[in-house]
Amino acid sequence: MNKTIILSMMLWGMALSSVVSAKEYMIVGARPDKLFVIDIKARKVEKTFTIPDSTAPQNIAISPDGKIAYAVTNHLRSIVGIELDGGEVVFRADLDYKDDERTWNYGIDLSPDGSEIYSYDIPTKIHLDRYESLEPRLSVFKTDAGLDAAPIREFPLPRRIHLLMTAKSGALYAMGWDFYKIDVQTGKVEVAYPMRNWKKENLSQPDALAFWPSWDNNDIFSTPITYVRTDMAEYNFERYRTGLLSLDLDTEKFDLIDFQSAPEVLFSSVFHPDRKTAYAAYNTLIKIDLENPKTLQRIDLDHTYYQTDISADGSEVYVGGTACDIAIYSSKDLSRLGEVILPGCADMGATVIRIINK
Amino acid sequence: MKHLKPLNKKAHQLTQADDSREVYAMQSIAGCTTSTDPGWEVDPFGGVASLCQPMEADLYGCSDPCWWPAAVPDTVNTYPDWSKLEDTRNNWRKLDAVFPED
Repeated sequence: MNKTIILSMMLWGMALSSVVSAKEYMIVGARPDKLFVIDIKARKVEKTFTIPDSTAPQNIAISPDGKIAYAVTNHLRSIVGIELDGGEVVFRADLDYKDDERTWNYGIDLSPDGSEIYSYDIPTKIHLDRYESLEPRLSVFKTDAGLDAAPIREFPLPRRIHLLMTAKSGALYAMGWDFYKIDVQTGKVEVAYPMRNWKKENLSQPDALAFWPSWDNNDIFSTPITYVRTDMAEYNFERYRTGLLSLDLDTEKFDLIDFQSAPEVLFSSVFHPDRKTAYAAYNTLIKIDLENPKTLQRIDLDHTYYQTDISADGSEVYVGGTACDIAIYSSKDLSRLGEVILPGCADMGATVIRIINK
Repeated sequence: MKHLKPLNKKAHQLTQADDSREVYAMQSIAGCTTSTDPGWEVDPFGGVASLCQPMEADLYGCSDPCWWPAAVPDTVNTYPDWSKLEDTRNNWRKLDAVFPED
């Protein structure tokens, strides 16, 4: 064993022990207006907060210190910051801030230092007889702007973006029909990874439904992605392919692996922190070998789940969203380890799971 | 269109409309009536096995972003308070029905 391998094993062990020693909390929203803090290893909902003037919390971003959750709520029209110790509302931005506009938010993320919120806003001008689709934009808010926050910078962005993520360097990435890299100071947009416009030989345009941030415990975004091998016969089901597209938020490198045909719908995926396996879910939960890309195991789930996530130590896989339970499975053999039922069986719908370690 | 004749004013205006305007794909959702994603019928394979199981698991996840414009009320513009029901898997019979006011 050479010195490099020994050193990397020591560093991995140190990193693992530091996250394992921290207590792990899961943050989820639920309809109509709830935010839950869950002690996931204890299988217990520790805190329940009511988000004021809110219906249908969706996306959630957490401040880097793990103290404040910023929830997109109020039917995608508001961003509300909730302090996670006591539930105090410390931030609010209502996006319908121009009289004749109706604005929706999809993507949201924070700068690495936690001082700014990036929001992908979709404005529509309301006329008496019609809706006029306006140019989508990136709105930048200061997190200390209080309860009537207005954007400090705005830049036009391409259409059909639904997920924002900030890399460790501070660069903002946006997944839409292509993957974009955005300079949050100048608004400059470049295609970082073409998808709709990729030129991969014998592959059709891809399709992906990526709304879920599953990078809290592995620093890597991933999503199932489907496409067709155009060089294979139409009657051959192997021509319909499923891959995993990933963006390493440390190195900002993209990767695409092809691991199976398309026997099932998969909504989300998460990499194990050691990046040797990944997990994806919808009506099934599957375990994927990333080193020799293939599906290692598949189980049926009790019902549909939207989001897949994983514990910091990599031992537990979580599936959530849709209904009122988070189901917990072993990352080793996908055996069921437990569940957490939200109080009142509040439906999560399209809200997301976030995980903090503190 | 040449075999179709407008029956009312709105349909007549449609035949007169300038069809050179740029049309955008589903992006600007100021009301669920602007969406045309049907939902609920078949999965990508033409069957039903890959639809959400059960339907209630998908109810809010799809209705909140206007994915099911034909199946549920417009929660963005006209019926923002539909529905605050919890535990829809057990309570789906209590989901609100809505009726136009005029």
